[in-house]
Amino acid sequence: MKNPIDEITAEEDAVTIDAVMSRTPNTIRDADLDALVEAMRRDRARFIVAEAKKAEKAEGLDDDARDPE
Amino acid sequence: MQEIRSEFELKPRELPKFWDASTFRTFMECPRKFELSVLDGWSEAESAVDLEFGSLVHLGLETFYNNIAQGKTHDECVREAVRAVLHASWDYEEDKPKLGHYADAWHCLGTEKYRNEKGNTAKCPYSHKGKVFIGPDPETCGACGSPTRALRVWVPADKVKCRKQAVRVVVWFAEEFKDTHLELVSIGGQPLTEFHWQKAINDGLVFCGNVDGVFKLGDSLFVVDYKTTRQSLGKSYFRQYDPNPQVEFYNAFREAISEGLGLKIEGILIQAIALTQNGVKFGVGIFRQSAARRQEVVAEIAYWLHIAEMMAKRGFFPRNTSACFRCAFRQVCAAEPTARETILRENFIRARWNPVTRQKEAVEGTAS
Repeated sequence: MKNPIDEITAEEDAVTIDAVMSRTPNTIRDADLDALVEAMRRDRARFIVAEAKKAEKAEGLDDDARDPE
Repeated sequence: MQEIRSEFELKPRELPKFWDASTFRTFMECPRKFELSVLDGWSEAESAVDLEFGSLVHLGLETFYNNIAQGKTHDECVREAVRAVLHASWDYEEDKPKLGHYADAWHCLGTEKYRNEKGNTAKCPYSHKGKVFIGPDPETCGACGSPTRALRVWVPADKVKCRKQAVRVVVWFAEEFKDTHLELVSIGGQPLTEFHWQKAINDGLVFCGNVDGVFKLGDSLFVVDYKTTRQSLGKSYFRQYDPNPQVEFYNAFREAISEGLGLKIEGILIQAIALTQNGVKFGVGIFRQSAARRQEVVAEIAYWLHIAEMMAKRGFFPRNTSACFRCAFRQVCAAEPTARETILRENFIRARWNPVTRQKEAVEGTAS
């Protein structure tokens, strides 16, 4: 199964989030709220991947610092 | 001579009846700050964003857990929590979101050639994807001569504590703690979230506080307090909570908090929410304190109250100048005494924190 964050871009999710959030709340349907929630969940998945990459990179730098060879 | 005489003409002040952890912390930090903020009700105008953002997060999490207690599905609970935050953060009178404003902006369409400083052809810096510039639409880009597009954009009052972030906190929190062992405690179907407790000591003195929730972790019950922060969540972040006036105050009165509930609370659990522009991180810290330590805290509270009563009788609350760093009233205390009232009126609002209603309320007889 393909990861949803590979299929929908951060920009597409940003558009979804902004579109729902800019509306008067009492006109927002359940389906729109669910779309907003799903977009934010994918945002979280992307954030976790980015943080893991950052940590990996920092670890690599640490290793380099430890091993001058 | 006038200065010396005025030292003997101070009028006694009345202390508040209700003392929460914040009231104590302020007094312990600096008696003058206590006088200015708690007794006189001076408050920073810009702190409204922090307060409003905190209220939105609390509302979202409270709604999420209340819906869980009603037996709704996880997705339904998240949806209802998001709905609550969106409603509470919308200004229905002006039909626009709170915590920011709309502004005119523009974006270069980049149809004409642009040359950079070195004279090479490049993409116009005003036409980069996602780049918008606040201000009236110039119609023609000053850098490359391309036509521009006018936009209306949302500008948050605070990029980190904004409306979108409040919704994000709720959605991400629900994901983060989805399969956790931390369970909200309910009594008779009533979830123990956002409740107020009081412990009357005498007619003129009541200790009080507001609890974000009572949660069960394993066999132990904890009072949970949500903290939003811009700091990163390392050991040093959690070190600030031991010792800490709020954690110690809640631990000292944990019997009073659970009085009537038939529960035995064993400590305080801090659920920290670290905010950045790109995302949110969560962390948990548990703080139990022994009976001996709690007794020490009670003795200290009695001591501080005694000192407060002495100062109130004398009508004089001295400055603690070792605590001025980052204090909002620093500019007031650094000014000539005769200029302080003017500085307060020009830079602060009159809105006193009410520990019972958990709201900032306008001070009677003053214009805020």
